[in-house]
Amino acid sequence: MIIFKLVWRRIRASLGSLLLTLIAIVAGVGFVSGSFILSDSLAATFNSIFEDAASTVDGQVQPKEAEFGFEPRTIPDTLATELQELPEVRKATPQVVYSNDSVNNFIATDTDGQEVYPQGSEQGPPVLTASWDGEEGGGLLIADGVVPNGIDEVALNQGYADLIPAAVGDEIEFVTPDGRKTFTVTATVELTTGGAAFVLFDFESAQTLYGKEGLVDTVSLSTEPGTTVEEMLAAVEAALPEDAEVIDQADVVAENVADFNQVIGIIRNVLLGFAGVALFVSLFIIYNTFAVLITQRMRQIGMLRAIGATRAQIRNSIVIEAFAVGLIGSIIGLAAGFLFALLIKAGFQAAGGFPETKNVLLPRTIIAAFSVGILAAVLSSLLPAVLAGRVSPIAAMRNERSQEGVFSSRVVAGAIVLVLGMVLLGLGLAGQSTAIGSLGETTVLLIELGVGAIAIFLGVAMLSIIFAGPLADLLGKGGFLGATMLGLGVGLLLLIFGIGDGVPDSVLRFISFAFKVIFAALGIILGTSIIVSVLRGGKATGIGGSAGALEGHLARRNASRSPQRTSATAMALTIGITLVTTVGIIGQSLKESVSGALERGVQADLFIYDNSFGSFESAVTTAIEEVDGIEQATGIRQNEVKIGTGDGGVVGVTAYDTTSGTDLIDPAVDQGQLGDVAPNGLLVSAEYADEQGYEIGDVVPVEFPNGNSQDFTVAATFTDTAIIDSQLAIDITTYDDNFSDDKDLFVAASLAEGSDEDRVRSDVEAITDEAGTFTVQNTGEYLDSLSGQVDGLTSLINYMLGFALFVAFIGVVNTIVLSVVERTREIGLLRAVGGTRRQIRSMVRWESVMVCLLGALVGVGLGVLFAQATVAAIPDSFIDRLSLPWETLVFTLLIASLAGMVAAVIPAFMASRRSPLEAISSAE
Amino acid sequence: MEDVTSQRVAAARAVGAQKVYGAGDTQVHALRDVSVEFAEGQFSSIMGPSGSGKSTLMQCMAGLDRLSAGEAFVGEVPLSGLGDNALTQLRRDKIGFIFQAFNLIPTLSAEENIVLPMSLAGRKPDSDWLTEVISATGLGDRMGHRPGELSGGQQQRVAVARALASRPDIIFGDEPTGNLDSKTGSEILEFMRKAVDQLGQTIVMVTHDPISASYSDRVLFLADGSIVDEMADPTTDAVFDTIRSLGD
Repeated sequence: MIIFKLVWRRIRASLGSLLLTLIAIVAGVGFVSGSFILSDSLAATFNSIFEDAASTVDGQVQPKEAEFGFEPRTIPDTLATELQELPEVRKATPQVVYSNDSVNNFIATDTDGQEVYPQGSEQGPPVLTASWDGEEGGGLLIADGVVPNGIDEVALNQGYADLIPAAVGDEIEFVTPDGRKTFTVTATVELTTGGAAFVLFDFESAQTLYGKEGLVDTVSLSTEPGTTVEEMLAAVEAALPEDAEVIDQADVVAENVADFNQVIGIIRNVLLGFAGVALFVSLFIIYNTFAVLITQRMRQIGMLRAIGATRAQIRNSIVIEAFAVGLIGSIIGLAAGFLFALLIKAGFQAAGGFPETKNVLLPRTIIAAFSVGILAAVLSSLLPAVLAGRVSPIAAMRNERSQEGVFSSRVVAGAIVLVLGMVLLGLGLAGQSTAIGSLGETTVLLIELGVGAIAIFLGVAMLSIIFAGPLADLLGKGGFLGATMLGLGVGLLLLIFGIGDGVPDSVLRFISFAFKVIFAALGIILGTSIIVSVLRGGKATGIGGSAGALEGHLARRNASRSPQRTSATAMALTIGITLVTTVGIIGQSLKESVSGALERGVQADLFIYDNSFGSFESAVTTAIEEVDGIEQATGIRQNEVKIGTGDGGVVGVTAYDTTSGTDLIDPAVDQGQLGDVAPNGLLVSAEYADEQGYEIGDVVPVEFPNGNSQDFTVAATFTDTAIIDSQLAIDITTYDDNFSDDKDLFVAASLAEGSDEDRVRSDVEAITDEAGTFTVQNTGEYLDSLSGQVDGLTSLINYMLGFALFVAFIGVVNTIVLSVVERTREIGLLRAVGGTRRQIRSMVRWESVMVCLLGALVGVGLGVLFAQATVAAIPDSFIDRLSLPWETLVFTLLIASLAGMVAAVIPAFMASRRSPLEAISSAE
Repeated sequence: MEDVTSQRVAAARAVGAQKVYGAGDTQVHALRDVSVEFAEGQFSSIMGPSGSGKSTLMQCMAGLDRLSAGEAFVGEVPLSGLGDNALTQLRRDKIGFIFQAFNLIPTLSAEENIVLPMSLAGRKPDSDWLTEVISATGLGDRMGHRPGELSGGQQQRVAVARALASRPDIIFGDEPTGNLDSKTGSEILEFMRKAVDQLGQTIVMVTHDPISASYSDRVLFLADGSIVDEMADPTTDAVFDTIRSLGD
């Protein structure tokens, strides 16, 4: 019990030193629990919306899912009438929707003729349209007016009506798939919509407007009183044609919710991934804090050992202390997570795009928060605890603090872990994996890559005690700029002229790259020492030197004297920097690969696509083709077909006008003739042809989603999978013959010789404005917009990583504070012999900068390594080149120095406030 | 020289104790074949210049460090045969310590510090004995205070009481007055004297101060790892003379 008392009193007394550690835990736990709370709340909200919507429905009839392909399926509307006749059915309500994969098809315009979007942007919540028979319930209530009944009447949800603005009785012009049309608003309705806008028509009008005459998408069912739901569903089931099915209310909700839940699940996992990174960073900080606290308490521990505390008691007291800190951190972290979720939701709600949500705190979230927080604290305290147990009782009689003596064992362990990580990563890159137990091959592969990367990281972190001291010293000695430039220069040269680039095997490539990184690192060290030796005679410059001889020297000594602490702090920062660098390089490489690959294959001058990336009527394509000044235009479509008669498998197929030759799209034909593809030929990717053993002229049976089969001849193979990202391509007329939809995803058009691009473009835009909401771009703009998407993604990832960097930053502050506290006596001495406050502050600041720079340098190095490994592992069709964003890398190093300065502000202030006497007389 | 050990049972003894640090050229012999006994109920001092091996001898006999050769006994228990846990237990139950730097836990009260060894063992202290020890400190009304609220002399009295509290077979002191001025130092030494005379305790103290040594029953002089002289019922002047003669 005395152990608990000791620990508790100790925590209360040293709350100050534990405060920043606590923040690290709180941040990690908060991120984890916030991710859970946010996603659970979202899921609950969507569930309840759909449950509301389905509350008046006992079941639903819908077409059976196609085995493959993206054919919109419908059932004849006569089925609704037939079902209505069944005695068990009270009401069978037929419904149509515009299309399953496209939004913003019926958009209201304001008095100026401009489209009105919720939140004023196409990227905001969508405008949806559906049929409505006027029945209230399920969260839908008429706010004003009467149910629309006629081809020129419409009902709107109240929010959208307010936005346009429109009142009952107003005539409003809409942009529809058939051009602009005017409808009279007959009703506004209250509807839980999650920010989306709803445009409702009566059923018959909707059929006409949606181009689905005689068809329905679903029929919702309610049960006649006196009949059970099961009886009703069974009766309906018996009456259904073969291609339709009936599902009960729970399944209706589940199907509606499934997509949302999938998206929410992805969001949650991504957030948790970043939370994991932040936690990983916290581990280093907690470890550091305990390691320092134990050095500080060396004498006390020695005394306890002398008067009879066992090793186990000492160890346990540290672990219990960590447990308590973890527990406190978890409680605060959970609260912080709740706040975090609330804030994000408030942000969304302020932007207007978010439904009123409940706040869901599942037991799972609480368990996760506590286990994560406590586990992180306890795990990272284990090593310090073991070391504390080994403190000799004689330490009670010594005044100086002895160093921990695990140097060599840690180096050996670090080397083993590093090698293990490289082997695993190498295996993963080579695609060498076997299914282990219930784990699939891909899972094992991912584990190899992930664990390999983490192991490499930990290995480097453990080994960093060898180089942290000297490197920090070197950095301080002034060679920083020179060293970095020289090192990066050598690294660059090695990258450009390096061995092994021609080696196709990714493992060899990885190994050769690892060598290059080692050489680059050697380059840094070599460069520094050269510069240092040159400077030694004259004045020292650079970081340490420029701070003035005394404090620069002391800062350098301080950073290099406790390599374990310096390395652990730097490594916390390194994690974040590594990931930022990796993401930055991959993003840059992806961007250059994408635009590089497309630049060759894209021959067209204009690109037109729907803003929601949905499909659109091919009439738009035809109209564009007619525009004066357009030489050629083709729609591009994608779908799925089944190869062979039995088990050939389902593959994606692209369709475009192959008779246009290579003027619009150049798929880089390898064998055969592009001209032979139309009408009944296949254009096969060289890779797939290889895999399947296809030769030009082979006959391949192809089955379409509608069940039709047709024999095709392999007409040509292509190699540019960037421009055609499916294994097969066919001519667009062949597509028309075999698929029931004739909608395009994309239009590529070329300009006639000598035509004026601006004029042609405005003619095309006139057509697309009429037809809906489209983007029209020329080649440059199109490629830029693709880069923009990659940029958007990388900056989103960087925001998330920024959080981990913030935690690491806290860690730097933590270490510097601890080291200032630890050196109280020394600082007092400096003050006593005449050191000014400024000098003390400067000393602390430079130490901080050195630690940060060290972390950033190692991080950039590892980041380059991991990025190279990743790029090597990703198929060339996706990323085929490595491109280093130099500005970002240099910028990272600059920011790291700056962060070091900022991190030192408080500790430097603390240090300079020490009075010489107080500092010298302080015993512990 | 009067044989003061023969009539009494030894609370602790060393036989042929050797302690060697390092190896090869850098080898240092801290103790060379030292044999010594500390009798029950006696207050002994160990003196000697820096590096004479006096601290090493005490540490090895107190089970804080291990001998390179020879044997140390506490009571009749040979220390070399004990593992770390058994040794820890021995220190906890049979040995008391007084440190130069007091070494109290700043977060515990004076009384909590005094009973710490028993608390670590998970035992209840003997309350009659504890009352006696606490009253001997003369700090009865300050037992609830933290060390930070006590003067240096008071803190060291608490530390001595901690060493006494478990009624150990022997108490080792490492320059117990080294951090105190001469007045408070003599108070502590009187307190230790009282512990031996009135409470029947056994104390071995390492010191370099002849005045401190004069409070003890017997002084051992160490130089270069060996016992070079011994004195019963020492006076300050006699100790001074011996030290001076050793210096020659």
